Amino acid sequence: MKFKMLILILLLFTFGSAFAQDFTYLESQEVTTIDPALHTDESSLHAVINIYDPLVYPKVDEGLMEPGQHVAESWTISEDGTTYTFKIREGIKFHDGTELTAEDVAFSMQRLQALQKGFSWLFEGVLDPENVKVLDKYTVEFTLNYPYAPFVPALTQLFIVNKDLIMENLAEGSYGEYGDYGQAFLRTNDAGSGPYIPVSYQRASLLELESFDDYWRGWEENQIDHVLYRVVEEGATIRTLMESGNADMMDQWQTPQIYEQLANNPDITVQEDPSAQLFHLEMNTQRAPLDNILVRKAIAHAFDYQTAIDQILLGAIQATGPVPVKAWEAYGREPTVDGYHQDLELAKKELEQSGVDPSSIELTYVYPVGGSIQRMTGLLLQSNLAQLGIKLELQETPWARIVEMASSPETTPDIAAIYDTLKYPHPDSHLFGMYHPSAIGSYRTISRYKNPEVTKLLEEARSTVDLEKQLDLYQRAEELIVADFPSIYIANPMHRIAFQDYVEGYNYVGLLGYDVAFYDFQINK
Amino acid sequence: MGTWQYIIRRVIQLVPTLLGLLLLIFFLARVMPGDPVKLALGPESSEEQVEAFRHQLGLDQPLWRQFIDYVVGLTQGKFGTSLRTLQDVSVDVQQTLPATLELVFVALIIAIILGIPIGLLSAINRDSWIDDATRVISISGVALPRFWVGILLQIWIASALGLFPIIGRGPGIPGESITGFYTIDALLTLNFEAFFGALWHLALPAFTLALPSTAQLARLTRASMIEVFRQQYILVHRAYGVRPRKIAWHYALRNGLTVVLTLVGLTFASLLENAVLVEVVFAWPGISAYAADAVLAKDFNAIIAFALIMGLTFMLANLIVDLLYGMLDPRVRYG
Repeated sequence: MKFKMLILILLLFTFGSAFAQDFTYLESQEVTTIDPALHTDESSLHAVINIYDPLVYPKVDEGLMEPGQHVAESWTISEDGTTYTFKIREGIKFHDGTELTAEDVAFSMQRLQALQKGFSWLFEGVLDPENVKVLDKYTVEFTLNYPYAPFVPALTQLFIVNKDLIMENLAEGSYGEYGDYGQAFLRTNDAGSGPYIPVSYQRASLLELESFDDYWRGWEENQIDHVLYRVVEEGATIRTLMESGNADMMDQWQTPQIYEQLANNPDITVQEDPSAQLFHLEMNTQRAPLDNILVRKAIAHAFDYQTAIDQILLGAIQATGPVPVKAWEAYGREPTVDGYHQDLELAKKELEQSGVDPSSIELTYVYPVGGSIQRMTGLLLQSNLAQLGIKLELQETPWARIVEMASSPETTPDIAAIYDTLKYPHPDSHLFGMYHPSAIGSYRTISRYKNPEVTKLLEEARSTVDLEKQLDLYQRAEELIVADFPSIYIANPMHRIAFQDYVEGYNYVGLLGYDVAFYDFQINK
Repeated sequence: MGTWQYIIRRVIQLVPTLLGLLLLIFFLARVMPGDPVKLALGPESSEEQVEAFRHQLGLDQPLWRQFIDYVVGLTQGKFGTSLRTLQDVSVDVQQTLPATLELVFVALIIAIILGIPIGLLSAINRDSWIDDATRVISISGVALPRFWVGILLQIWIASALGLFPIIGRGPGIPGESITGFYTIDALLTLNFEAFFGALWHLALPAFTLALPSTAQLARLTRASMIEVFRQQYILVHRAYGVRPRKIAWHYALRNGLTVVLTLVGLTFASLLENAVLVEVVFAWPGISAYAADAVLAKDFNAIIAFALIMGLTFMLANLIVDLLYGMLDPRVRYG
């Protein structure tokens, strides 16, 4: 009898779960934080994007990463490019029912900068906290230390918190009158105005979200009102959950093979988009023999791009230059550069013209420990260069050590294989951040590239307010850089994600995290 | 010496052992290569950010000073700030340890209630087809990797048949948790639906975890019982015409179990060690998966706390086993 009862209860549970209408998203990295001043990785970014509203939002519905209006209804930039004035949308409500105002925007920026974690580095040195002014209830003004064109794109990482709620919930801390700036409170609670409210949060297993009825963008039928954001590390388990229909969508971090298998399932869509990421081999332009442009050209022309893309990356688009193609598309532009192509005859000729004896060239190629794609790419380059008579030695190096090596000219390696994701939705990220002398010393500037003309163009671009003129300058700079061969630009790899066919509205714009905003999805069963 | 005195002495002996463990793991965790602070703040973090965070964590202090601060914190129940969760590790432990212990205890119970009877059955029916069958099952039980068995169970039992959930621990018990063990909390609040829900979620991961230990216990019980069956007093019982079943259960089992008990203690430790693979496959929010992530992120405070807690649990399990010896075999005296 007891046994029968048990079976009955088990059956009830089984059917009970089969008919539930939850939207289940699977993520393989844990949700480290839901505090919008602390997030750095994709999963915590997902949490923050769904619970809070950023000041500006990428134009996801147009498929573009260019920032558009959101909490900020409009903005103006002073002629010298240093003063930004934002008009805040009226009537946005926080989850506790109070209204979001300019005061909250200013407080959010100050909190981000004071805590010095997460994305605060975007504004470090650019903006001093005392230069954030509330002009009236719906107007806020930021005065920058110098003109900084990517300022608005960087604001996609400024999420607005409810100042009054946080001030009521301060704990002891090292920030004077602000105590701990509400860090303890925001560890498990929210102070947002976003489309969803967290109802349950367990860092390593589950984030449960429920729709916020008074959300300012309103709700339509078929939108998702209840989300189970589950953390599952094992790829095989993720696959079983997707194939059995126990999950609606999964993250981008699985191996290409898993997406390949899922694509065979008639009920599952696997979406592939070129990512806003650059995979390239930086060449140290300051040390012989790579200080000779003809040697760099010869190496770039010897490399087999097609094999790298087809056999190693299993599909990708070839990089046209340092700026990922997606980043130009965001601003309605085509790249004006065309990358490099393999041409062994040309490579041999260039090497001859350089006057350097190929048999005297021995180069080191550094790549991070465990980077199998970087290792295979290195082996490919090794065999390509052997045809020119150049020796290449592969060195697998811990990532922390590569960062250290890049900090001084003596230790910077000859060639390094680097994956570089767009830091903010603007070409400036991969131009100023990689080719302005002030950036030298990081893993992004192993080329140690210096060209006064490019330096001048980049500085001019940053302080140009007119967007079109500004983009022209950035494109001109990229053309000059590509002509100098500081890197072997290989590819913008693929971003893959899988979901059930009945999920609609998914749009990848190339900006980390913003593709998984549950508000954008509709369920059509 | 009485049992209580023995217990107190053993507990006092735990302190220097734990201190030694702490000393070792504290310095090991700090000399690991790579900068964990930089790692925690992300590759784009600036020097200023890293320095500020390092200061906040007290990592700019000399090593001996950090150690003293840590020990002082320990006496107040603090394990230091986690680099990943940015909260005190004790909070993380509270959230994750009960899940693992619950899984391990249930697995241990499964291993005992399946393993010992199977072993006994083989010993009684030695060299029969029953013995052969259990031998095959036992050897495969030990040989098959847990994570692989887990994935197969997910595909066949959970996904295809829909009998059990594929992942997770279930929704838990409404309201404040009392012990953190879902099953116990459910029983304490007389919430039987939640109790069965918790068991239902536990079934597959606990079985997966228990499988190799069940097999080991079965093999050892068999060997131990066969040894006991050879003893002369068993022969005497047989000669008197006592029924074989009564001999096995009543006279032989108790003597055979002392050896098995040693293995039960070791089994507990091995279940804790092996929980990580099962936790990862079943997305079980336990401390083993937490610790594995901590090692990858060089989250040293979490690593130290995990080592200490595992050490303590292991020592306590040994103590309990030693006490159980005395109950099973009156000849064992504490001294």
